[in-house]
Amino acid sequence: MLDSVLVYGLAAVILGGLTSPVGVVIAAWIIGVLENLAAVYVGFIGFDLKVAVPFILIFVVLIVRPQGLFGRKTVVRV
Amino acid sequence: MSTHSRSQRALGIAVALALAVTVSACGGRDAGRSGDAAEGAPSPGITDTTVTLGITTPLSGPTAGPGTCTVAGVTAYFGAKNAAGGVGFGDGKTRTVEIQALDDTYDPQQAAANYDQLKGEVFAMTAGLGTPTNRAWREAAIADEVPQVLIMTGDPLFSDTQQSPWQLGFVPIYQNEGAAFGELLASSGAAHRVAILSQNDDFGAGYVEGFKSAIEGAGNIEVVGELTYEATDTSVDAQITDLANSGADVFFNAMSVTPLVIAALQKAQQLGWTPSWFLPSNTSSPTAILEPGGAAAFPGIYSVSFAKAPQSPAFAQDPDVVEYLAALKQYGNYPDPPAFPHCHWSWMIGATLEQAFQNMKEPTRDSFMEALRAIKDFQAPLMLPDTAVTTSESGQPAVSTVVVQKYNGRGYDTVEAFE
Amino acid sequence: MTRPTATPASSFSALRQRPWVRWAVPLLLVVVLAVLPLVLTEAANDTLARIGVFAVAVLGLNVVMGYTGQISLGQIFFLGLGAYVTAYGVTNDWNIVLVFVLTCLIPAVAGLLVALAAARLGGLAIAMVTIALPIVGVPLAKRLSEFTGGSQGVSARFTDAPEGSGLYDDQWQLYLVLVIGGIVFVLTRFLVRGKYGRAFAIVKGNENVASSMGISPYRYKVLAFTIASLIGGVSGFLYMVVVQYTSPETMSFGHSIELLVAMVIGGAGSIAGSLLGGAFYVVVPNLTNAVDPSLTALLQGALLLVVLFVLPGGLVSLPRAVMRGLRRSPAGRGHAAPPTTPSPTTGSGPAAEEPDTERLGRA
Repeated sequence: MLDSVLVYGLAAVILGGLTSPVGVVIAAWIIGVLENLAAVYVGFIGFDLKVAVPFILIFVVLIVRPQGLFGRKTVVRV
Repeated sequence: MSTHSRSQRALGIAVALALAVTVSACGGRDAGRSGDAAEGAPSPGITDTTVTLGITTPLSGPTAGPGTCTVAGVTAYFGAKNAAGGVGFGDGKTRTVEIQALDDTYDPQQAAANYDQLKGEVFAMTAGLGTPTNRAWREAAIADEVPQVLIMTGDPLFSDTQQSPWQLGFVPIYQNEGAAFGELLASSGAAHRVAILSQNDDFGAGYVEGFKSAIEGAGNIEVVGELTYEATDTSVDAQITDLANSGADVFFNAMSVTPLVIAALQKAQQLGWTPSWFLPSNTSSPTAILEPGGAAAFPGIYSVSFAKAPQSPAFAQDPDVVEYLAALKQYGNYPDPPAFPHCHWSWMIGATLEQAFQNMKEPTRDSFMEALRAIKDFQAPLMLPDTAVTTSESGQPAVSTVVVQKYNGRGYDTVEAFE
Repeated sequence: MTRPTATPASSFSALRQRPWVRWAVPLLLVVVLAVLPLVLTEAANDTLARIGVFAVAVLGLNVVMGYTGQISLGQIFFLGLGAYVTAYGVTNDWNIVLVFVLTCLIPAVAGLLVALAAARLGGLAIAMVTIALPIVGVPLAKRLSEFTGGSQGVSARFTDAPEGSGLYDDQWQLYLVLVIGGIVFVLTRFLVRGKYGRAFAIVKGNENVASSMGISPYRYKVLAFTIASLIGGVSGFLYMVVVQYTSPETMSFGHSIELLVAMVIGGAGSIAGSLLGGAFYVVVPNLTNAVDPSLTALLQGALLLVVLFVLPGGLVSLPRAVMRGLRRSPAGRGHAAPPTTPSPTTGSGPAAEEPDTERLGRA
C-alpha cells in the first residue's frame, strides 16, 4: 500500500544526505524527475522497472560520495 | 560455555513449543490422509444435516475490500437459506450450509497453508479471490480431488476441463470482457484511434489479448499507444500524460486498482484529454469510482457486466436487489451497501452452488462436480437479461456472456452500438 | 522456599555439562525428528515443514543481521530466487541434485555481487540497497516471464513420495525439509561458533576495532551476506518442496519485513531463535485465522508488540526470563508478577495503535 512512499522517502534521505534537510528535498525532486524520464525514454526500463531508477542512482552516488549528495562527512572516533 | 548451554535449552524449548502448537492445533484428528475414503462413501465435510464449504481469500491487507465481499455474499445467501430451513439436496436430504473462511492476505504461501488446513474438513473450496492465491494450491486440489470451484479469478487455466478437472472459474475470463468491448468498437464502422493502459500482470494482459483479438482485421481501429503500470504503483500520471499525446479518441483502460482509476480519470481531464473510456467490470462502480472521478466530462464511459448493479438507482426497487441487500445486512455481516461487485458475484455463486446441490445424487465430491458441470442457462438472481450461468462448456468459466454498458450519469444502460 | 526452586535448576545445569548428556541430547533430538513425521497428522506435518522452510530463511537473515549486524531487508529476494531456480530446473527436467546445487549457487553469486558493492556503504545505505532487491525483484520476475511464468507464477510438483517408500507425500516432504534444513542449521552453528563467527561479532561490535585487529570489515560483511544469500537460496528450494508454487508475490517487500519481524521475535543472533522465528512466521497467521479471520493483521501486530514489550530479547530469552522470575518472585512476592509468559490473547490493549506497524509489514 503505502510502502512505496516509505521507500521513496528513505531513498531521498539517503541520496540527499542525512545531515542536509534541503538536500533531501532536492534529492526527492531529482528522483521523481529522473525516474519518469527514464521510464519514457530508456527502452528497457519502461514503466514496470522504473522503480529501479532511484536505487541505481543511490548506488552510483554513494560509491562516489558515501555521505550523500549534500551531506557532511561525519568523523567516527574509536 | 554459558551461551552454549542456554541455546541448547532454548533448542529443546523450541522443539517442544513447535510440537505443542502443532499437536494442539491438530489434535483430535487421526493420522488418516485425505483421498483414502472408500468408493461411494460420503466425502469429508458433508453429513446428513450439514455441508461445509471452505474459502481462502484476502481478508486483510490491500485487497481486503473485495476479499471480504467474496465471503459476505455467499455467507449471506446461505445464511438466508439456512434460516428458511436449509437447502434441498439431490439425494433427498435437506442440509444447512456452513462456511469456513480463512484469511490469506493475498499471499500464495498462506493460501496453500489455508487449503491444507481446510481440505480435510470442508466438502468443497469456493469463491476465493485472486489468481496466484488460487494457483498456489490448484495442483494439490487436483491430487487430493477437492473441488476448487466458482472461484473469483479470470485466469482461463481454471476453466480448462482438461488441465483443471476439479476447478471451475466463476467470473468471465479477462479475455471475454476485453473481447466484448473490442467487438462493439470494431462494429461501429467509424475510424478510431485507441490508447491502451493495462496492469502488468495476467489481469491486464488478458484484457488486452481479448480486445486485440476482437479488433484484429478491423480496418477502422488503430492502436496508437500501449503502456503498462504496476498494481503496486501509487500514480499513473506519467502514463496518462504519455498516452494523451497519442491523440487517441478511445482509451482502453484495463485497471483493477480503485484509487488509480479515479486518479486516471481526473488526470485526463486536467490534461484536457477526453476520450471514450473503457473500464473493466470490477472497477466501474458508479458511486465508488465514476462520481469521484468526474466521469461526466467524458463522452462515454463503457464497461461490461453480467449483473444488475445493486447501487444503481435503476435497480433500487428490483426484488432481487432488495432481497440481496437485506440478506447481506442480516446474514453476511456487511451492514453498508457494498462498493465492490464481488459481493453480489459471491451471492450469485451461492445460487449456482445451490443449483449443483439440488442435482447431486450422492453426498460425494464426484457427484457434486458432475452436477456442477451440468448447469445450463441458469438465470441466477441479479443477472442481467442476455447473460446466464452455463458450466458445461470447456474453456469457459461459469459466466462467460457479458453485455457492454454505458454510463448514464447515475448508473449503466446496456448498449448495442458504439456511439 | 528459595532453595527448592534453585537446587533443581543448578543440578540440572550441572547435569548438562556431562559429556554423555551433551551427546545424548542431539541424538535424542535426531531420533525424535526421525519418528515425528510418521506419527503426526497430515496437517501437523505440513505445518512443521513450513516452519522448517521459514526457519532456514530466518537463519540466513540471522547470519547477516543477528551475527554481523548489517541491516538486510532483501532476504526474501534470495528465497524467491531460489524458488524460481528450482521451479525452472524442475519443469525442464534437470537432475534434481544439479537443481539443488544451482539453487545454492545462483543466489549466493547474486548475493556476492550485491554485497561487493553494498558492503562498501555503511549502515542505512546497506538497508537501502538491500531494500531494492525485493522491490525491483517483483517487476523483474514479471518481465522475465519466459523463465518465471509471469504474474501467474509456476507450479512444480516434484516432491511426491517415491514409489515403494511407503510414505505419504507430506511425510516425505517433511523428511526432505528436516534433512536439508538440519544440515544447514548444523553447518551454520559451526560457522557462527568458530573463527568466522568471532570475526562477525567483532565487525558487529565496532568496525574500527575490527580493522585494528587485522579483521577486514569489508571482507567479512561480504562473506556474511553471501552466506545469508546462499541459505536464502536453500530456503527457496525448500519452499518449492513444500508449497510447490511460486509467483512474484512470493518475494514481495512485505514478506521481507515479516521475515525480519520473525527474526527479532525469535531472537536475533541465535540459532534456536531462528527456529522460533520460523515457527512464529508460520503459526501466528494460522492462530489469528482461528481467532477471527477478518482481524488477522490486527492480531498479528498486537502479538508482535506484546512479545517485544515483554521479551525484548525475543522468544529465545523466555527460559532465562522465567528463571529470573522464579528466583525473584519468592523474595519480592506481591509486587510485580514475573513479566514472562506472553499470552497470545492479551493483545487488546495495544491493538489500537497497532495498524501502522502492521502496514509496514504487510502492505
